[in-house]
Amino acid sequence: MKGSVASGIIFKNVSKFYGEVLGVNRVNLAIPPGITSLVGPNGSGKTTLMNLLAGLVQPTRGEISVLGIPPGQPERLFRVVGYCTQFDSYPAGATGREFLLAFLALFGHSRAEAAGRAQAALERVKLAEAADRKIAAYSKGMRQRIRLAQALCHDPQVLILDEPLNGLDPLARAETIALFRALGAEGRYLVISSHVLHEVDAISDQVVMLSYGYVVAEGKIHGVREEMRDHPMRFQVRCSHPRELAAAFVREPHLLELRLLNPNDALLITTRDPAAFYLGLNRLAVSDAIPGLDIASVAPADDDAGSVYDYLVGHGEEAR
Amino acid sequence: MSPTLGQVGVVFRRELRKTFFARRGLWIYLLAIAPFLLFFGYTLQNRIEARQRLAWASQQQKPLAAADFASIRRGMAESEVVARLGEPARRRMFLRRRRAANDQIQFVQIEWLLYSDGSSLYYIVIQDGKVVRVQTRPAPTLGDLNRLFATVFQFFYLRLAVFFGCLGIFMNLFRGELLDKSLHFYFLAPVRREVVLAGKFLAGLAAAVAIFAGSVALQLALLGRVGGQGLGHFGAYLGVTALACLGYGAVFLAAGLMFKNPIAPAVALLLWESLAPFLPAMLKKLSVIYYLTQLCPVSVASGPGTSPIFALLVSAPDPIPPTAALVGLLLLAALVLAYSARRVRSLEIDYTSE
Repeated sequence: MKGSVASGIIFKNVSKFYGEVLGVNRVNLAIPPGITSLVGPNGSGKTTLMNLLAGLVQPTRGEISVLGIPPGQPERLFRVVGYCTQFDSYPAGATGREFLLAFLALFGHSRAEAAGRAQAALERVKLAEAADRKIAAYSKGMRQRIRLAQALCHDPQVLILDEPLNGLDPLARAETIALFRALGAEGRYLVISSHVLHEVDAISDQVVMLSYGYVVAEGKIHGVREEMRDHPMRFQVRCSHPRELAAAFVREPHLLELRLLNPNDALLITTRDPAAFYLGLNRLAVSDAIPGLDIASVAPADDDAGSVYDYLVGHGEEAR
Repeated sequence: MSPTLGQVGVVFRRELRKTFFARRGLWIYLLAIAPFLLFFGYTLQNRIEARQRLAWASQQQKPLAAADFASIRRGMAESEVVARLGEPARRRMFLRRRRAANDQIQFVQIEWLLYSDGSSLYYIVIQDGKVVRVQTRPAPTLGDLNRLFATVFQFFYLRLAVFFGCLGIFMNLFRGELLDKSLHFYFLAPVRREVVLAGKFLAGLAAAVAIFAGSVALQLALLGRVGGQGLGHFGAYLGVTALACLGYGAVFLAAGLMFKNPIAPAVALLLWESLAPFLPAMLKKLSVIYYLTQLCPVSVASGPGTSPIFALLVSAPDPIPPTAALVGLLLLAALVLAYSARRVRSLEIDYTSE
């Protein structure tokens, strides 16, 4: 098992301040192998925690260790860590494959080995067919997947993934979640940040909930799932036939509200069962029930995710 | 090759391509090419004047020598001038506007009699039928060319073009990547930060030397100073340019790691470098220009009519031997680079605050 390193990922009393602004405070965590989600709204400290883990920022106080390696030693750390950031910046004119080869060149691999690793990573994220196209011509979802391939291409034991499902269409989302599950099952450490609680429900073995830089809850996902079950969630679907899609959803028992945001390309759906919503949407996407249906994106509406989070954090704080 | 050197090579190649083809660096090429354009204009003018010297010498009434023109005095009548020198090759007439004592506008006729002795052009200026001035435009000598080049090199090229060019290249190496949100490409790879710094610095240096030393080579080639006796100067100027890129490059690399906004450090450094001649001996040694001017093959000497400020700027009150200047500059660059290496280890990527 790849992740059976006794030390795991350890945060020992870690605080990070940006001047007088709090990033995270007094974080004590021991992250085991498998999928761990960092959950919280924007500004709760998820990315700070991930950047601390990758050594991109230094802790003001405390110690961090990743499989026994301090983040201040990138030459050792990134042999075992891959980080998929949210930042979308690529060399001008580079293709997906060239981008990965340029990154792998820094690992000192031979050309042949680098080419093999790049190809394997591209296949793993289902981007092999578009590998020789310029990244500038990639869709948002493809860019997300090439970043994922970059994080994966050197076969790391620890994967840090910052909002990795952002921008993916339903099919790619399902495939990526399956990939995470497979990686987790291999015994790797996956640390995933998300402000979308439904994603956490779908992929995590355990969850770390953050609020204003503090860890407010951590543990197995079941508890969070129980809390979420009856709380409605809203999704914005951008697609080619929103009226037809609305008509297809209108009789679904989990549906609470339907709203056409823009008659030509956007629909807002409120559901009490996100899993059933995704299942229904995936079925429609792959069937011919709505001819010419093209789903550009599915994104949980932020406000709603925030409200669920507040709901959960509120309960947690009452329990303390 | 060791893995570390291999990584330096990877960073170097990637950064070199980026530096040469950066759209935001277009102005650096313009800065580098500016003196070339200046010397191109100068050379063109010299060629035209050389042709004029020969043409006028053949067109005037009789062949003349420098001594003939020395006999022309202020106040001499035009007819007397023509009697001594013969009919000029060209005559040019102008009307000059002048305000008279009663505040009335008057027009005064000015005439130029244009002669040549084959090596100089002479403009004898006649007003109210009398000589008021004799202007001589001799062909530039080798010494003139050397002094002209040295002046442009020291006062424009080193202090402004290379200075701001290095600012554009070296501050961009880290600060530009932070603005583009792309620095994590290196910082998420198993590469020591110092290795990234070394690769980036060497790429910046190679690009800066290629651009600025390349321009110097073109300028000297244009002035015909690349062969024979000029070869020593050619080598020395290329060397000083390369050292300027090294010195300013190291300083701006460090500034790029320390400051978000390049304007403030650039202005401060420009002031510091400009004030170097006025600084005490100890502080002078902390300026790049101090070492560079000592290594220039031609000094820009001040003559009797030179302003005191210019004289102070061109003087070298604490001259040191070239070897000491070279060692001093290398030491200064090494110290600044060592500081940068320390600084880059603790550099944080926080794109949201950029």
